[in-house]
Amino acid sequence: MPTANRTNTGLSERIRALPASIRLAPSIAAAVFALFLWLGEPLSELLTGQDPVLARIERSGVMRVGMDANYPPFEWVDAQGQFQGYDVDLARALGEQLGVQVTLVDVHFDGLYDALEAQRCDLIISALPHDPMMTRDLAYSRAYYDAGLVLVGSSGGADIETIEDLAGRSVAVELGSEGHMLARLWERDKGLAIELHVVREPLELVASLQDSIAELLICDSVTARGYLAQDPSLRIVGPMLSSERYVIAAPIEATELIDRVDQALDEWEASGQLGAWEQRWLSERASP
Amino acid sequence: MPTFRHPNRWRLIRRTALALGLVGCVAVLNVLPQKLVMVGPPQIVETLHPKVGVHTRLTDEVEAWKIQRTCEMVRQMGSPWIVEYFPWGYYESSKGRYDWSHPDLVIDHATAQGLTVLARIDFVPEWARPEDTTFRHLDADHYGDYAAFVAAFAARYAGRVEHLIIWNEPNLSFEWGYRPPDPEAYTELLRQAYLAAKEANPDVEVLMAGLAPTTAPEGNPWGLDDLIFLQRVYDAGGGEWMDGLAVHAYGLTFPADEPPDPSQINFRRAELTREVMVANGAGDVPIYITEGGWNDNPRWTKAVRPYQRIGYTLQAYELAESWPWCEAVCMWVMRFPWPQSTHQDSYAFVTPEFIPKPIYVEVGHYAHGEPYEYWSE
Repeated sequence: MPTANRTNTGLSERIRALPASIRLAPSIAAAVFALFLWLGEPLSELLTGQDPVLARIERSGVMRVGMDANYPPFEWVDAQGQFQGYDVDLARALGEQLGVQVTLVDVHFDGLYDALEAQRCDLIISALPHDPMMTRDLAYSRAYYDAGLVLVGSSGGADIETIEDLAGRSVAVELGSEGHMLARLWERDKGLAIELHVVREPLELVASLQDSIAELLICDSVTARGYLAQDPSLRIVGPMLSSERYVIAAPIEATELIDRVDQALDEWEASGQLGAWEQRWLSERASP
Repeated sequence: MPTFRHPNRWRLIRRTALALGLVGCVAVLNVLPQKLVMVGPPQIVETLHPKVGVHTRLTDEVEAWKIQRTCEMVRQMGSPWIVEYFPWGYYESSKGRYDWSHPDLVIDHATAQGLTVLARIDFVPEWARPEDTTFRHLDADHYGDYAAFVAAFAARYAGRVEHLIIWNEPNLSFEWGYRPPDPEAYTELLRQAYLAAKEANPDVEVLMAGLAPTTAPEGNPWGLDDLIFLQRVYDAGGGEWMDGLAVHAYGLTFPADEPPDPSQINFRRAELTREVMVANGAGDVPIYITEGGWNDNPRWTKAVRPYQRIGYTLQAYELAESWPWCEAVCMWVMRFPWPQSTHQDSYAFVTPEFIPKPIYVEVGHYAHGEPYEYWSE
């Protein structure tokens, strides 16, 4: 065996003599490292399982909140072009909690989910009712307000404990409203004979109580809070008749973000902050 | 020989009996037929206003009794017409293999109730479009596949369904697979569907798609003005390939008698559509309003109060009586199988639980010439 040849073999030749798997290992490692640097944080989120929506918010320092600013008292744009309302306060407080700025993105109500899917916003805070049909595609927070139907009475209704207690009572409803349909459903399915007084406009509902045409009225809890602020003799009586829970929605992968939202809502409920926003926007704003 | 005695013998026997009982119940439930729904004897729609119609939404309604109940309620309202959507992709999931079970159910019940069905056909199956496209995307090399399905549908329901609507709102980018609206391409689709349908059933009437009422100008990426789109269809020779025209006539916040204006969307925009037809020598071609109406959702900016919705709807049916070129006015929408949780719920005449809304009640009174329950001028 020509020893001389062996001793004269250069480094490159010795490398070529190695098995391909070992020879290419440094190149593969370098390529992976370069890919890691190129993909940067998204890859690390993928590898660590971090919520990509929250990571993006933290990286940019901005949380984009989608809302249909056309639904007072929850959200609207005032004459000065400023966003106002319960959800606006809630969104800003959430931004503070997360330590980021909040950008409000005005989107038509029916386009909110599309805006989330198209990543035009990170969250929806817009008096958004919980939709059980969407839970495979979206992450929802716990509810922060229930805008379901309630009974409002003036002098009457103190003895109402169950829906069945409405039998034979005179109840005002707005034509074609949710309350009207619910009363018709009770009539059909429960045989509940309510003396329905059907009016055309919401304002006629209160007038029908004040004029003693009806003993009670049915409306959603937001409208009811407004009526109570206008007329202190009115009060909400009996059980809630239906539930329409307002929630915050995020992309399905935003699990950590929704956890943080839920924590914040829990804290605000315990501290009375949710109640304070309700008072400010649903009662005080509606008072004369 | 020692006898084995289980320490909890009675408990074991009871559990075994319970398990056997449960297995038996499951077996019996599987063997028993589902709720039996008979199509029933043929019915006749009683109405004083034969143009009254409504768009049903039975596509995703899986329970036969609900399909039947919906059709019954349409008949009882005094509406002889329904528009129904038949998604091609549901019924031909692989090329040439048809599953007609659901459309059979819908058409059996609708025709038994005496209803005339206007069948809208679209929704591209996956096999007929590229990956990563929507069910509204159909390339020209698959127009023949669509036409073949239309022909199969026309042949199967010959004598029972005599009006086919070719596609839906092709003047919207969304409805054209997120591509710019293309009237000339649509005309070619219409031509192929027309020829195939006529070959399968010479008596069938082929209707051009209802266009979305919009004032979007040429070049807008999301849509194209319906009047411009229609003119371009005529320019491309489309007039030869339609026996009628489907029209979508929404009133938004305006009364039904609001005068037509090319820059505005209202119910009487149908008259402007008619003017385009007449200008193109198609004055004898009938119009079928296959969608339309008003919405009373308090969260929608284009909504009206429920009582206004009733008044405008009755006014629209009445107005159509004076339009000899209009065969039917089918309002959107009879009922959804489940809540949509959008303003769409507030177009419905009946709730998902089959509770009639006041609009249903009053249209029924109108159709039967009875005094109104809620509505007054």
